[in-house]
Amino acid sequence: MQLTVPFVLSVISTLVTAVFAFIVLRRWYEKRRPHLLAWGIGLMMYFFGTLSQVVLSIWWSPFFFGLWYWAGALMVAPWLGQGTAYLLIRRGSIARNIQMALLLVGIMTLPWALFFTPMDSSKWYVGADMTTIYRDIMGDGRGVRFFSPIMNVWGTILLVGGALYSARLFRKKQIMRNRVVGNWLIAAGGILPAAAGALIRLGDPSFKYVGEMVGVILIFAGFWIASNIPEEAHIPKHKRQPADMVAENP
Amino acid sequence: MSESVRSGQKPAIPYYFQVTPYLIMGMVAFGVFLTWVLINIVFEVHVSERYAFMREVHWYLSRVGLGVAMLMFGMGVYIGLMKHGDVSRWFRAGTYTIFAFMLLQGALGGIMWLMGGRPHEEVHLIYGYGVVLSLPFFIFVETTATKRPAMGSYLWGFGLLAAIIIRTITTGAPA
Repeated sequence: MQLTVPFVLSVISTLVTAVFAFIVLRRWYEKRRPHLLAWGIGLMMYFFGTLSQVVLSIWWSPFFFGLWYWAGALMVAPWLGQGTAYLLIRRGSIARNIQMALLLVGIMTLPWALFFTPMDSSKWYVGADMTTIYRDIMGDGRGVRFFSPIMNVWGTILLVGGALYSARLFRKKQIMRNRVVGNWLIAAGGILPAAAGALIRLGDPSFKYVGEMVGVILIFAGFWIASNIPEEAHIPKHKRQPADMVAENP
Repeated sequence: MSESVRSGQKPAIPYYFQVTPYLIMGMVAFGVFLTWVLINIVFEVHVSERYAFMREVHWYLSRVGLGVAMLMFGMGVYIGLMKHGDVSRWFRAGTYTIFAFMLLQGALGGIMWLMGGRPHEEVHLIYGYGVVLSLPFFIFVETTATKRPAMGSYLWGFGLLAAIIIRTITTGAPA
C-alpha cells in the first residue's frame, strides 16, 4: 500500500489527538471540572474519527465507516463546543441541559450510523480518500447525514465563538495575555476543520486532512498556552501607582 | 403553584425520592392501564388478535403521548417562563407518569418487533428508544439542579419528546 498524503496526515492527527485527549482527561480526573470532561469526550471523538480514517485507508469495515462518520462528522464539534458552553454559560442548568440533549442525539445516532445506514462497500478500495467516496457508500442524503450540518454548525459556533469572546474579554481587561493568545489559537483551530467540512459538503474535499491535522495542533497549542504558561498580570495604565511609572521610565 | 427551594439549597428529601399524593395518583392510573393491557394480551388466545390489540394500543399511545408532551411543554412555558415558578410536585409527578407510559410504549413496540412485526422504516426503532430516554435525562438534570427554578430542563425534555414522537409516527406503521 502506498503512503498517501491523507494517510500520513491521518496518522499524525491520530497521534496528536490521542495525546491531547489523554492530557485533558487526566486533568479532568484531577480537577473534576465539567468543561474538561466535555472537551475530553470531544477529543476522544476526534481520535476515533482519525483512527477510523487510518483503518479505512487499509481495510474496509462497515463498523469503522459508521464510527468514522458518527465520531468525526457528528460528535467532535458539539462536544468541544459543550466544554466552552460549561465555561461561559453559567446561568441555571442551561449547559447541563444542552449536554443531555447532546447525549440523547449521540445515543440515537450511534446505532443509526453503525447498523441502520446502508453501505455500498463496492465503492471502497485500498488507499481510498473517504471524503471523496462517502456519499457513494452511504447513498442519498436522508438518514443520519441530516444531523451533520446541525451538529457541526452548533458546535463550531460555541467553540470558535466562545474562544473569540473569551480572548476579547481578557484583552479588554488587559489581563492574562496567555489566555488571549491561547483562545485565538483555539478559535483558529476550530475554524479549520469546520471550514474543511463545509467544503466537503460543497464538493471540494481537498482541504479536509490538512484542516483536520492543523486544526487539532492549533487547539492543542492554544489549550497549552492558556492553561500552562504562567499568567502575567498586566496592570492597566490608569491603575498604576507612581512608583510603577518611575520603574518603567527610569 | 410551586413549592420552591431556594437556589443553592438542597431539598430536605431528594426530589427523586419524594412520594407525593400526585405521584401516587399517577402511578395508580398507570397501574390500572397496564393491568388492562396485560389482561387483554395474556387472556387473548389468538396470536394475531394479541398482536392487533398491541398495535392499536401502540398507535393510540403515540398520538396521546404527543398531545400530552405538547401540553406539558405549554404548561412548562407558563409556569417557568411567564410565572418564573419552579417545578411543582404535580408537574413532577405528571412527568414521572408520562415517562412510565412512554416506557410501556417502548416495551409494546419491542414485543411487537419480537413477534415479527416491522415498522414502515427501520429507523423507527431508533426514534422509539429516543422517546423512552428523552425524559429521564432531563429528570436527572432537574432533580439534581442546585440552581432553582429549574423548569428549563422540562422544556427541553418535553420539547425533544414531542419532536421525537412526531418522527416515530412518520416512520411507524404504513398508512
